[in-house]
Amino acid sequence: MDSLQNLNRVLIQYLYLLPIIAVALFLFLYPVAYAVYISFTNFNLYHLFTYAFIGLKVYEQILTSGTFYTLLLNTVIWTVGSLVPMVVVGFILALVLNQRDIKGRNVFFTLLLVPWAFPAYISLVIWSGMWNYEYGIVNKFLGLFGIPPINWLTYTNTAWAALILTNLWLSFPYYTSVFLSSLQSIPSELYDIATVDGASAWQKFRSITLPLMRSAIAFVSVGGFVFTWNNFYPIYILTGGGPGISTDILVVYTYQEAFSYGYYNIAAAYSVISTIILAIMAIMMLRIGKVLEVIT
Amino acid sequence: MVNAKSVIHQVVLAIIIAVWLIPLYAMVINSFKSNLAAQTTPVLLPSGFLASNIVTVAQGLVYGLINSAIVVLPVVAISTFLGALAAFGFYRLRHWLSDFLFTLVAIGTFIPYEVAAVPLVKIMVALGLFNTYGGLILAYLIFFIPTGALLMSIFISVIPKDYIEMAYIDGASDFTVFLRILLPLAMPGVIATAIYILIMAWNNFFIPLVLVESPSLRPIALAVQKYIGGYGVLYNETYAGSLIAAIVPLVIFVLLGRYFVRGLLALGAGAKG
Repeated sequence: MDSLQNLNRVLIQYLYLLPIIAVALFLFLYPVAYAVYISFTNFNLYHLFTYAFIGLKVYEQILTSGTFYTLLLNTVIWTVGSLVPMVVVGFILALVLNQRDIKGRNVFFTLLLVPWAFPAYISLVIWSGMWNYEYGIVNKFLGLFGIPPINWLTYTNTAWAALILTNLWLSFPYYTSVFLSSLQSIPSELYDIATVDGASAWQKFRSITLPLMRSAIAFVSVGGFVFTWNNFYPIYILTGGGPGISTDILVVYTYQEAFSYGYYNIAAAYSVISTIILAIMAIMMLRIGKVLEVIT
Repeated sequence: MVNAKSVIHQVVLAIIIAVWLIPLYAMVINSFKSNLAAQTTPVLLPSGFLASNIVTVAQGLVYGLINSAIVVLPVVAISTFLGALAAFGFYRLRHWLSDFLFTLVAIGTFIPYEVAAVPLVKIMVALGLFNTYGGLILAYLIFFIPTGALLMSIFISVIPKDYIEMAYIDGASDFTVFLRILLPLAMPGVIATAIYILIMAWNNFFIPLVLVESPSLRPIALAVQKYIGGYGVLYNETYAGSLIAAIVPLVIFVLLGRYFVRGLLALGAGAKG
């Protein structure tokens, strides 16, 4: 009787999870499973109603094409190239903001976060105007120093520079705010003791700040890696992957294959491959950074 | 000496933040210029105050703001409430099955929208919800209920179990405990979750991009596209349109920014722009 009541109680508690189970199973896992399924078929704009199972053909086609490797390399350039400056700048700025002698820290902090409330696509549209050859503020600014205008988004190298700088602008406050909040959780007594012991600022940084921030840095880097890998807007809006596919990344190409060309099966296969590579990389980074041990 | 250092810190910060805010400043002042002035005068200098193009653009975008409100407000209410409910379930149940489900939800918030786009369109077509408000709301819920659950779990986890246990000893039912004790105690977290979902859903561009066809149903994120991009752009209208698309999240941020920041920090890098 007692155990029956107990069971009843547990079942009722699972009722609270019902909405989330419904969402997770029927509305989230289903689309993902479905994407995997159509990647094994020839479902596209030309076989909308009469598609058939064609096995691994799509994957074979993708993995033997040069396009895939270009996209993969671009995705790595984009992710690593964006992440390193974002983490470094975010961390340095957090250190500066964490100085005890800073007045008006909250004002600075709030101003830094205002653009976060902005829709990313709006900021990106403004940025694409700023990189404009004729009217763009970047070229006008360089003109003050006698540097001739640059056609930023039409050449591969300058397009990457523009993309990564824009992404840095978009993202570093997030890193700053996360780092700042974990810097502030370091007890100030540690620094006081070190000061009494005659430690220099650099020594304090090396032996107190850095070790204690290690897990925060590792965790944020992994999260940032995943987010940047799948960050759709900057490239879609600024270059559309151009010139050609020289700045295209997997997630943008996937969208273009599906919604511009109607190759749903190829798009699905691309997203499956991209997700698998990303998952492997994220797990490797978690292992190397020993993040899991910190959390559990 | 110490003072000089502190001044340098302050100045460096002020410069970085000024540079950081330039694009937003450019947007605001250029939306008040005439189109000719927007193209010929320096981007960073104000030139006259022309309210007419803001008004014109605003009139052309009112329907977008209304569409966004129709879709986003129910999404915020439902996903915050159901997210909190689920978080309560996870909080009460310490069981391998609920832990597994929680992991599933956490992973789910990391999967990009783009992966689910094609199946999502197919589901909505099959349900007859493609290109409707209902379909948009349902699609947003798919992505934001897990976000809500994850955020609420983080906020609820800091509430001491003793409060809950005491209520049970007094004979309160599960739902009473949830409504009367847990929700009030977690109210700052509830607000943070709601604000976070509101801003993210309002700013979302991708879901309506694949699920809406008729121009009249477009939320603001899509509606503003007619003023930006393409050839023969009117620059002042581009900026004015951007300002109007950003106005709601901006006002909310100014009034309730600290809650948004709390949500942002709690969720880690899983945020989607």
